[in-house]
Formats: sequence, C-alpha cells, structure tokens
Amino acid sequence: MSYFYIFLLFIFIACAACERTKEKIYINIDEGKRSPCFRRFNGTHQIGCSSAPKGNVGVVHYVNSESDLNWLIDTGPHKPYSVLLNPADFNMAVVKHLLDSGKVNGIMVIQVEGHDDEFAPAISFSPDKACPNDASSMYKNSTDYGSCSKVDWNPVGESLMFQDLGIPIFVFTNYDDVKTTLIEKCYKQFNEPDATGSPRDYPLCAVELKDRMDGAVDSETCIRRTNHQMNLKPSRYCDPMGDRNVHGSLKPVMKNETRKDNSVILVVARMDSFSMFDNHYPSADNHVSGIVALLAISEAIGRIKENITKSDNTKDILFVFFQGEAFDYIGSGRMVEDMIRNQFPSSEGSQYLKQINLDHISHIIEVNQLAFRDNGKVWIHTDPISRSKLPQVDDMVESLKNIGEQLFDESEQDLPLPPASAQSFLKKKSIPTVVVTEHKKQYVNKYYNSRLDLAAEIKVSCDNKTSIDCYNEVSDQAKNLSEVADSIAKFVYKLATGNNASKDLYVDPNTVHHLLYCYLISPQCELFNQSLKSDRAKQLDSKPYPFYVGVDSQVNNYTALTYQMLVRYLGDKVENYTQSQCDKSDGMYKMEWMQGPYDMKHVNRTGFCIKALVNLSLAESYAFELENYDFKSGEFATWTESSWAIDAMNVRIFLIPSKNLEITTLVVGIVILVLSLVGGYIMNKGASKVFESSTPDSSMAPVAL
Amino acid sequence: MDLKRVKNEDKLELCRKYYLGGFALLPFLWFVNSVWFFREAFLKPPYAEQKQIKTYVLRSILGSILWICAIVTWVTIFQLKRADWGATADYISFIIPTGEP
Repeated sequence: MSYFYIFLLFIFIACAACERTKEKIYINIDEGKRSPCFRRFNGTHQIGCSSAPKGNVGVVHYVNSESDLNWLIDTGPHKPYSVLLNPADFNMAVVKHLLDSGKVNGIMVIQVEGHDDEFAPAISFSPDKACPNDASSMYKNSTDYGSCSKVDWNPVGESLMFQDLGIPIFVFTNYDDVKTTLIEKCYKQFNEPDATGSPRDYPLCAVELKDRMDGAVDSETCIRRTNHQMNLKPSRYCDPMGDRNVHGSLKPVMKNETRKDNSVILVVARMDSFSMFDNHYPSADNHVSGIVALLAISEAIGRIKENITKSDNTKDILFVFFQGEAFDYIGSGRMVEDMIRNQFPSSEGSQYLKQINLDHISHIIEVNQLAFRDNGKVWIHTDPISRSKLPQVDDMVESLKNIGEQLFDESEQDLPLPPASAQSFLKKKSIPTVVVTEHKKQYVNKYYNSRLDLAAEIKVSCDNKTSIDCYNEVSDQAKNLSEVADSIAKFVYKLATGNNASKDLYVDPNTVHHLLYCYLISPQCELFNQSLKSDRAKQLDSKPYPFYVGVDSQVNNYTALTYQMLVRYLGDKVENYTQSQCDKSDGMYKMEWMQGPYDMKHVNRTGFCIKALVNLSLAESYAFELENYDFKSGEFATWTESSWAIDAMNVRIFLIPSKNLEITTLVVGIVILVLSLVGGYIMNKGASKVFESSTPDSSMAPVAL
Repeated sequence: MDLKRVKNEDKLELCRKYYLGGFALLPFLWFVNSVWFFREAFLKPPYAEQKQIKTYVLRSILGSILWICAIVTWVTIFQLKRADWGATADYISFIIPTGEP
C-alpha cells in the first residue's frame, strides 16, 4: 500500500512541474489560428504549396516596409528565412521577389479581423487569373475572343493561385499570435536588424512551417498512383474535386410523355468560389449575391407557379445551382454532358421523369455577381457569336431592359460572355442566352475568388447589432439585390408564359435579407432552422460554411442547404402528412419535412411536409469516369486536390543556435560517447584489480537489478 | 552453425549446396558462402576437400560481385530516372514516395 502512496506522490510532483522540455522549447500556433495553402492538380500541372517532409525551418523576418524587404534580399545573412508579410504585401510581385532571391523557404501572411488600422488590408487582390476559367472557355479556340483578347475580366488577377510555389504559405488569423508572439517576442527580440542595418547574432528566432502534400505532378499521375494496386503501402495521393448541382423545375413531364423542344428555360447561378487558403472562402459578392438572387427569384415564381403549371402552352423553368464552376465548370460541364447522353436527370427518384436534353432548352438566363453596381446599373451580357444567328437574344435583352427600366442596361455587344456556366452549354449548342451581372466590362469586385471577398465588403455585416436585430432589419444590400431579382423574376415569367407578370409576382426584400444573413453571417438562422428537420437544424453552425467545392466525399453544407431552400420555395405543402410519412415517401417528387416557424407563444414549431421537383445531380467531371480519358485533351475538368496526412500541418516557433554551436555540441557528444565506451572497456578489464573476488568469469553471472 | 565442429566432407557438401543454390537467382547464398567459407578456403591449413571448397568460394565471390554491380547499376538508374519514366515506373514500384514526382 505504501508503494501506492509513493507512486501518487510522484504523480503530484510531476504534475506540479509538468512542463515537458519540448513545451519549453517550442511555441505552437494552434490549428484554427492558422490556415495553409495546399496543392491542387489539373491534367497538366501541379499548383499551390508544400513543404519538405518534416517542414521548412526559416529565420523569422517581418517585412513591414520596402526597406525590410530589400534588407532581406540584399543583406540578410541567415538564410533560409521565413517571411512574415502584412496583408497588403501578399501579392505576386512580392512573392516572386522573395522566391527568386532563393533565401526564403516559407511565407506567413497576416490576416487578423478587426485590426485594419494596424494591418491594413490589400486595396485589391485576386489570386485567380486575369482571364478566369480560360482553359475551359467557349472562346478558347476563337481568334477574335480567345484568351480574353477583348477585355481582361479580372484585371487585378495575378494568377498567384495557379503557381507551383513549392514552399509552405500560411495565413495567421489570431492577433496575439501575430502581434505578441511573432512580432514582439520572436522578431523584435531576437531577429530585427539594429538601426544601422547590421544583422543580429545567434540565437535567432525561427519558425517551422510544415505543410506536406502527398500528391505530385498532375491529376493523371496522382490518380494512377492512388489506384495502383501493387502499392504495398496503400495511400491516397489526390482526390477528384466535385460535389452536387442543385436543380428544380415546376412542371412534371412523365417518362411516357413527350417533352417538347424549346420548352424549358434554364435560370442558373454558380455556387462556389475559391481562395488560396483552406477554410477562407468568404465568397460574398462571388458568389453569394448570385445564389441569393436566384433563390429569391425561385421564391417569387414558386408563389405563383400555378399560372405556369396549369397551362400546356407555357414553358417549364429549370432552376440550377452549379457547383465547382470556379474550377473549369465542373458542375455545368457535367450537366451538359449528361444532357447530351440523355442522362439528365439521372439521380434516384427521377426514373419517373422524362429526360431533358439540349434541344429542350429554349433560353438560358444566368445571374452572376450582383452585389455591386457598375455605373449604378446591372449589366446584360450576351454571346456575340451565337447572337448573330439567334434573333431571340435581342428580344430577351429588350424585354429585360423594359422590365428593369433604368436599372438594366446592355454591355457592349462585341464583348464576349464573361466567365459563366452558360458557356458550358453554348460550347455544345447555340441557345439564346443572357448573363446578368454587376460589371459592364471588367469586374468591379477587387477581390474576385480570394480570401478577401468578405461579407463586410458588400455591406452585409452586423457590426454592433444584436443577432436578432441584424436578422430582421433589411439591409440596403438586400434591397439592392431584391430590385434586381424582382426584375429578373418578371422577365423569366414573361419568357415562360408570354404574358406580363401581375402584382402577385414580387421578390420580398425580407427573404433576400434573411438569405444573405444565413449564407454570410450565420447559417444558424431562423430561415434555415424553419426549413430543416429538427435534428439537422440542431447541427447548423454559427459560422458560415466554406463555399469551396472541395473533394467529392459528401454533399457540401451549402449545397444541401440550397437544395432545402429550393424545395421550400418551389414546392407545395402536403396536407395531413406526418413526419414519418414524409420521410418514407418516394416518387418523382422529393419530399422534405421542415420544422417550420414558431407558434404564437414562441414555444413550439409546427412542421410541414413539402413536395417539390427538386433534386441533386452529380457535379463530377467525366474525366475520372471514362476509361482511358486523355487528361491533356482539355475536354473535361481534371481538377484534383492533393491528400495530406493527419500530421502534415504544423507551425511552431523556437530559437536556433548558430551552426558552429550545433556542430560543437554534436562533436562534444560524440567525444563523450567514445570516451565513455573506452573507459567502460578499461574498467571492465581492470575490475579484478579493484574488486578482490571479481574475476571475468564471475562477472558473467546474472545480476539482479 | 559453428564450422569448427563440422567434418571436412560435410563442409564441402554445405559449401556446394550454397554454391548451387545461388544459381536459383539467390545471390545472397553466394554472398553468405563467400564470407562464411572464406577462412576455410584460404586461411586454414590445407586438407583434402579444401581445393574444391576454394573453387566454390571463388565462384561465389565472382557471382556476388556481378550481382552487386548489376543491382547497384539498376538502383542508380531507377532512382535517377524514375520520375522521367512516368507510368512505367509507377507500375514497377511497390512503394511510391508521397509528395514527389
């Protein structure tokens, strides 16, 4: 028993001073306070960041001015360096300058919310290309319009995302980590050159940035390696990117009926964007403004859908939200290919419905970025190549301009379409198409596809309001978007029915505001809560989900939520159904149980069952399904994302001694080892001289320890 | 096995087995034979079977050297050229390194 108490005593002593040596040496920057840039592949290239297998160690250097940068490149004697950059300094020129110097093996980018005065944000930054989705553009082979020859849509785009940077890059989001730990305790205390510019002596403060990617070369190589059966150590090298498209229509056309040509109007929006850093996909203007506008249109039209469904002479409206569009149109490319193969819709539950192919589509209306207004207007873009053959396009433009009065105007007619999902369709067939967006020529969004496309930039933020006020007070942006959505809804209605819309067709600014709140501020909002089953509503996060398409493992949160909203807006209540009846049902309609709004006493919710012709369809590239697909052909999207191990990411800060001290320590260690071996041998040999009874023989006997 | 306690004719038999076994693409048998019987073949005072053992050991040494040369050459070429060979190299690999071409 006493042993037990002694043991306990030891535990107490150990715990009283239980800081391990490791913890005394290293300061870790925790996950969640940092976010890595990672590696992706397409059919021909690898892009993004990776470190050495055990991480890159570099001496911390904070670049706060031009002279700091020049000092590092001209003087800095302690290479390799790991550079800490202000938010505004992270751009192509600086990164290239650093990489070309050969002195830098890691970059840390500051991005702390609410400290704009201290760490000023970039005036403009887009890691996308100046000509986004160039490789899959419908104008790829056109001499007149190819490679954005008329206009660079994204003039601030520097293509930083599409470089194979080869070093780890992290953003740091915690103010204390950046200000106190990195700048004050690490850089200023140990590394900052003195006033005359002479470098400091060892020990220096260094950081280890570990960001090890498993994949390499290109999609074809890493997919082949992942599938390689001989591999003794089965591991994944990369995974195809993809998710699901959301689509919903109004008129059921059964398998045994015929679907008339030119009887479906496509109204579409994109659902995704990207940025260079994991989990930093704010996507406010690009592309929440479009998602919200399209949902608002679907609500407005859903409210009066009987006018369309009751008549045989009206056109059906197919609302589609495409996923993976930022990556060479994964979603729309898939849908077009499915339509050509007569496999759309193909998902379960749709075996009752007649397929839709390209001939059935009469018009395409796409809503792109809408949060800003170029010259106070919203701009209509058309495709100059097909327009000459399709008189309907002129009618569409005129009709939309009439309905939108002063708000809508037409962009220059000889401009090609901006990057848009509609291009996937036009590549295969000339269909009358208009793209409605905020910019006349170049993008007005200065942060296209970047970590800085924040909700605050489009004036959707709560500031000091309580969350209830913030949710209920309709913002100016919501009014702005509902104006646009309202006109488009009326325009679509006129296309579908041939008649002008009545007063019943309107977009509700409240809906738009609630949607903006739910997508950009907190999915844990009343609207999403009402539109889900109670168990799923409980799982809603308070922070926005990523808008990045990601690898195709499970349905993305926002895809699932957008689906749910579209069901609610386009569907009908099924009276007298209980939740279990609703869950069980299958057929051509999708049925979803929604827990509904609170009752008058604000205690219980009254749920309802909604049936709708809404479904998910695959947004996965055919490149990964076809046998012997040529990945270099550029026919389908080939994007994959590198895998990484659980312990592949790590950031820690520590002091490093000079190389001389390291070598001296090692040599002294080896000398001591050799000396003790020799000493041990001599003592063993001469043991008999000291200990009378001990002979070499008796020393062989086992000794109890 | 301690060769000190083995009869000379058994040593020859053993050496011969290792030598013949090496022809079954087992170069390690030749290598072991070379090391194990080196003392018997060249350093021990002469005895009747020694001449034959010496022949086997010499041939084993020769075989091992050829094998070592062949393997070193192949490994060098493979390590230098693996990335360039692309798919072919992947199909003849058991372990493909992560994060590298």
